Amino acid sequence: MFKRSLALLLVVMMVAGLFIGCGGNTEEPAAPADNTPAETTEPAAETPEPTEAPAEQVLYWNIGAEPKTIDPGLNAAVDGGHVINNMFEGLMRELNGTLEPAMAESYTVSDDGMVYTFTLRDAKWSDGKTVTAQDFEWAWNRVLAPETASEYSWIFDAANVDTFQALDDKTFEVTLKAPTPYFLGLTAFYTFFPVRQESVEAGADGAWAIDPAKSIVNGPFMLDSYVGGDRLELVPNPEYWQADKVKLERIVGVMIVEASTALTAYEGGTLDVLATVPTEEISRLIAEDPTFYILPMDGTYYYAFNVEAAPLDDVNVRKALSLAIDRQAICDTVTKAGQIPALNIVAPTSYDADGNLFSDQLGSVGLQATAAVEDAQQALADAGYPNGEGFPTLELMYNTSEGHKVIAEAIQEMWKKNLNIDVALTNQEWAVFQDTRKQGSFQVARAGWIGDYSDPMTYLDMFTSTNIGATNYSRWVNEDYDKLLEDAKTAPGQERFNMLYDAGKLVEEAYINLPIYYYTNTIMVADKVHDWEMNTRSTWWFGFAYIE
Amino acid sequence: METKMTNKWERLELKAAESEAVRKSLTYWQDAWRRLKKNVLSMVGLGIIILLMLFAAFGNFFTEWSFSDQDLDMSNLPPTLDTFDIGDGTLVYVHKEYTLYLVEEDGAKLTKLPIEDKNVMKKYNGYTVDGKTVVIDYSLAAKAKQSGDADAPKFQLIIDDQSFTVPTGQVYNKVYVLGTDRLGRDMLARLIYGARISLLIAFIATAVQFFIGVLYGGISGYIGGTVDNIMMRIVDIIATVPLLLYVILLMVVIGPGLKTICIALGSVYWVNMARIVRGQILSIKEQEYVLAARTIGASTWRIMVRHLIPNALGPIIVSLAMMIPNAIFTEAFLSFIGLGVNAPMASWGTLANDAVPGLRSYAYQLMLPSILISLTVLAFNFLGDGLRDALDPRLRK
Repeated sequence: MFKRSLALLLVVMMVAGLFIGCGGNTEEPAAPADNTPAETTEPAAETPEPTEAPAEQVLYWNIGAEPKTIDPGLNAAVDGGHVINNMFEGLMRELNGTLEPAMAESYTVSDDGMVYTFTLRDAKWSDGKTVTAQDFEWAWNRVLAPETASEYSWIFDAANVDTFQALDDKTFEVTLKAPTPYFLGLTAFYTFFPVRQESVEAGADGAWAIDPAKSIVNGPFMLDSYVGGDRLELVPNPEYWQADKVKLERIVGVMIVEASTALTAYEGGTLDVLATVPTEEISRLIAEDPTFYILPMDGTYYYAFNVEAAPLDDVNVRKALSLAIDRQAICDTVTKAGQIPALNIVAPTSYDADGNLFSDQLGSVGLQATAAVEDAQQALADAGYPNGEGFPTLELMYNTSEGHKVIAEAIQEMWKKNLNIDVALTNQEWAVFQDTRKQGSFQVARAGWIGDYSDPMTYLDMFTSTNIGATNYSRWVNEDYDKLLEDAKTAPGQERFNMLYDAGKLVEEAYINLPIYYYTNTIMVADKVHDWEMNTRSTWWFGFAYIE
Repeated sequence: METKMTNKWERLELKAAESEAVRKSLTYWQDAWRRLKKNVLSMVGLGIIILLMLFAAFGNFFTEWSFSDQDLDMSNLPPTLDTFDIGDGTLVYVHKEYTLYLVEEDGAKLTKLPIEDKNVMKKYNGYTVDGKTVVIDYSLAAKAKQSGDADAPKFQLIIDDQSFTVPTGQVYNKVYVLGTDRLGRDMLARLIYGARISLLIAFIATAVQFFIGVLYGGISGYIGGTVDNIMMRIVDIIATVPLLLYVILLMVVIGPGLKTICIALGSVYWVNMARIVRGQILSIKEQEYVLAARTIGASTWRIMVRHLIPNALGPIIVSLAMMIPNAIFTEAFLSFIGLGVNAPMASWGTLANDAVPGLRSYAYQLMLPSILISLTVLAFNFLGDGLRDALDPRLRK
C-alpha cells in the first residue's frame, strides 16, 4: 500500500514537473515580443561593457555588500548612506567641501543661535508634487516615533533639536535646546532627509525604498530597478530641481562583496567606481595606478573592552592591553593605506573654539604610536598578573572580514609577545556580531566609528550610560562623564570644549577602548569619470558627474 | 640435460621451476594487497599520503619558526629573491612594495633597511647602504601599467647615479624557505601546521562516519522491515539539508572552530556510508553462514559485528578512502569562505583564503596550499580507486 501510494506520488510529481518545464519554455520566447515596460530593464542587466561606447553616460559603481536598507529614516550604515545620498536631498547639502542650501533656498538663524528658519525652494518630488515643509515635519516625526524603530533617532538629541514645525508650505522652523554649531551640517545627513508619507506607508520597514513603483525621491537620481544581493540601477530624476545639470543617464550599482573580485572587475574595465580595495594591493596601487585615491576620513578604528567581564573589569588590565600594541606597525605593514595611529578615540578632524585640533589637544594617557612594552608589563603586574602569569585566555571578537582578521592576528601576536597573554580569536557574521556587541556578551570586540558630524561630541556621546546597548559597547558607567556631556550640550564656545576635554580625559583614563588607527578612505575612480563628489562624511554623490 | 640422460637411474634433482606450481594460499587481504601493489597509480598515491603524513608529523624540524611567529618587517617575502649587486658583493632585494632588504650570507640573513628619504609624490624611496646612496624609483610603475606590457620594468634602482632595472642575480630565501605571508609568518611552518589540521579534520570526520555510518547502516539493513524504513527516511532527511546551511547554524550555536567543523562534517557525512553498508548487509544477511550463526543462537550484535560487517568491509574501506579527500576538500572550502578554524591556527583552506586578496602580487602564497590540497585529494583518490579494484572479488584473476 505504502509503495503504491509512493509510486503514485512520484508520478504526480513528475507530471507536475513536466508542466512546469513546459511552462517555462513557452513563456521565455514570448517575453521579448510583447515588450512590456516592466521588462525594458532586462537588456541592461546583461554583461556591462562600458568601454564600447566611450561617451555612454552610464556609471558602473560597486556598492559593496547589499545595504540593509535604503530608507533614509532607518538607515544606520555607510553603504546605505551612499545610495540614499544620491536619491534624496536634505535642507542643506555639501558640495566641494562647503555647505550650501539644497531643498532650502535660504535660511535664517536667530541671534541666540537657537532658532533656524528654512525657506524651501520650488523643488519637486519625482512624482511631480512639490516638496513642502510638511514633508520634512512628517519625515522627522517618523524617525522620532518609537514604532519606526530608527537606529539613528538619537541623532536628533545629539543635534539638540527641541521642536520643529512647518509654519506653512514653504517655511520650516527648528528650535534647538542650545546653540549647536554642527546642526546645519547635520541637515545634510540622511536621517534628516525628507520622505513622502504616501510612499513610506506603501511598504513597511523600508520595503518601499527598494520598490521602484513605490519609491518617491527628491534627489538627482531615482530607483529604476533593485535586485537584492546583485545590483540596483538609478536613472536621473526628471523632476530634480537641478535636473539640467545631471548628465549621467544611468548608475548601475553592483553589490560585489569580495574586494579582490571588485578590483579585478575595475582593472578589467567593468567597474568605474570602487570604494574598497584589498590591503595587499594598496602598495602596488599607490605606485602604479593614478586612479587610486587615499582620502582622509572622519573615523576611528578601535577595540571595545567589556568592563563588566573579568579580567577586563580591572582598569590596569585594560591599560596594559592598550599600551602593549604597536599601532605604527599596524598602520605601516598591515593596513598600509596611510592610516594614522590613533592615540585617543576622537579622530583629528574637528577643532575647538580656539582653533586647536581637538584630538591633538586631548592627547593621550601613556599611549604611543609604538608599543610601550615596559609600562604595559608594569600595568599588568599591578593588576596581579606579573608576566602574564595566571591570566586567563582572552577572547577577541570581530565580524567576519579579511581586513579585520589580519589586524586581529597582528594584535593577538603583540599581546602574546609583549604581555605573554593568550588570545583566542572568534569571528561572527556582521548581523550576529552587532547583536552580540550590543548585548555585551564579549570580552574584546572590534568597533569602528565614523563621525556623523564635525564635532568631538559625535565620538564622546557614544560612551554615556544612556547609550549602553547602543554605542557604549564597553558598558561603562560614569556619572561625572554623563553630567559633563549633558552640561556641554548647553554650554557656549570654549567653555563647552573644556568640558569635552575633561570628558575625553575620563574616557581615556578608564581605558574602556583601545584606539588603533584613524581611518582613511581608499577609493578608485576611473579616469573617464569627472566631477564626482565624496563629501567629508565620506559619502558618494554623483549628481553632477559625467563620463568623457 | 644430455649428460644426465646417460644414466637413466640417476636421481634427478628437484627443481622448483619444473615442479608443479604450488602457490601459497593467500588470505583475502593478502590477495588484495598483492593486487594493490600492482596498481602503479595507487602505490604513487599511497607514497604521497605517507610523505604528507611524515611532512605533517616531522616537517617542523626543517624550520626554526613556529606557525604563529610574526615579524611584520618580513611580510610577503617570496621563496626566491631577485637581487641587485650594489658593488663589493653586497646584495639587496627590492620588495614588491618598493622597500629595500639587505641580503647577506647567500640568502641566510635578511634585514629590512630603514627608509631615509621617502617621497610619495615623486614616488621614490631613498636608502644608504654601505655609504652608497640607493634610490628605488617606482614612478615607472604607472607607465608600465599604462603600456600594458607585463614585462616593462616597474622600478629602477639608482645606485650612485647608475640605474638598474634588471636584477643581477637570484638567491634562495634561506631564512624563510617557502617565503612569508602578509604578517611575516613562515609559509613552511604554516603549511606544516595546516597539513596537521587538514589531515586531522579528515581523519576525525572519517572515523565518525565509519562508526556511525557502519552501525546505523548495519542495524537498518539487518533488522529490516519498518525499522529499516524509518531509519532510511531519517537518512534521506539528513541528506537533504545542505551542508553549508548546517555549518553556518552550528557556527552560530557553538561558535566557529575546529570542533564545529568536525561536528558538522561528522554529523552529515555518515549518511552515504549508512546507505552503502545497508545495501551490503541486505544481500549478505541472506547467506547461509548467517543462518548458521543464527541457528546456534548467536546474538544479533555478534552476528552483525563478527559476520556481517567484516564481509562488507571491502566497499566500506573504499568509501572511507574516497571520503577522506572529500572531507579535506570540504574543510578547505569551508575555511576558504571564512567558516574555518580560528586564527592563528591555519588549515590549507584558510591559508588559501588568506592569500586570495594578494593574489596579483604574491601568487606563491596561494599556489603552495592549493598544490598541497590538490595533491592530497589526488593521492587519496588514486588510492581509493586502486582499493576498489583490489578489494572487489569479482575482479580477482
